[in-house]
Amino acid sequence: MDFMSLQHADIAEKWMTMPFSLQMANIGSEISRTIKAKERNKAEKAEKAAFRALELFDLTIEAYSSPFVPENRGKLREVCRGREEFCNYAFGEVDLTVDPEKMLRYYDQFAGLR
Amino acid sequence: MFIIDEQISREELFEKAEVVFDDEMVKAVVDIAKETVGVDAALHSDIEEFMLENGSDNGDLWGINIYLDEEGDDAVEFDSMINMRPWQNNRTRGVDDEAIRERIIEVVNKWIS
Repeated sequence: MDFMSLQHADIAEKWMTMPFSLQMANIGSEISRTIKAKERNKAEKAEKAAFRALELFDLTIEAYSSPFVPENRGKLREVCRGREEFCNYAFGEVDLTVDPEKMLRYYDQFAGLR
Repeated sequence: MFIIDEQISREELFEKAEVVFDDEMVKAVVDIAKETVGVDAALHSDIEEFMLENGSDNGDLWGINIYLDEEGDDAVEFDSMINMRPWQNNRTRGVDDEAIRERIIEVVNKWIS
């Protein structure tokens, strides 16, 4: 992953060793911004927040896959699936199976653990 | 879920796969650097995770759908949420870069006839 191409280039190195709960809480912040912008029909704002969220998801995937160790399997699975669920909400056709409030509650749990 | 490790026909692939959508489509993830294809899961992200565990780099992985009864360009559909990677200038579920699409097809054709 080329860190220099990222919006989050300045925090990318630090992200690699950040606690999982903090990574997920930060992702949750961008998800929250995406949801709020979509609910207010601010499409451009929603897209920007969603792209920032995706970048943080991918940095987190990088953190737990390069190199991969079996102890990180659970975290990697959570992040990969969470990313796909978020994409379904942010970019998919109207998907009634993604409840944005429920999705956000999952990430808010991590904010509580900080 | 498995990584294809020997040449296989599409018919054989669909017989082996446990997760087939509408009797006509399987999800797959292609590693364009390692030239491998992971298949057979309900979510592209599950195949992605499996391939990451097996040494793939996230930026080399691209999600596709393979159709049993389509020919030519219609046999492979570039459509997956794992492809949305703004930091790689891919801002859709498809694969925006033609060179990468060609590379994906090359890798698919290497393993699946």
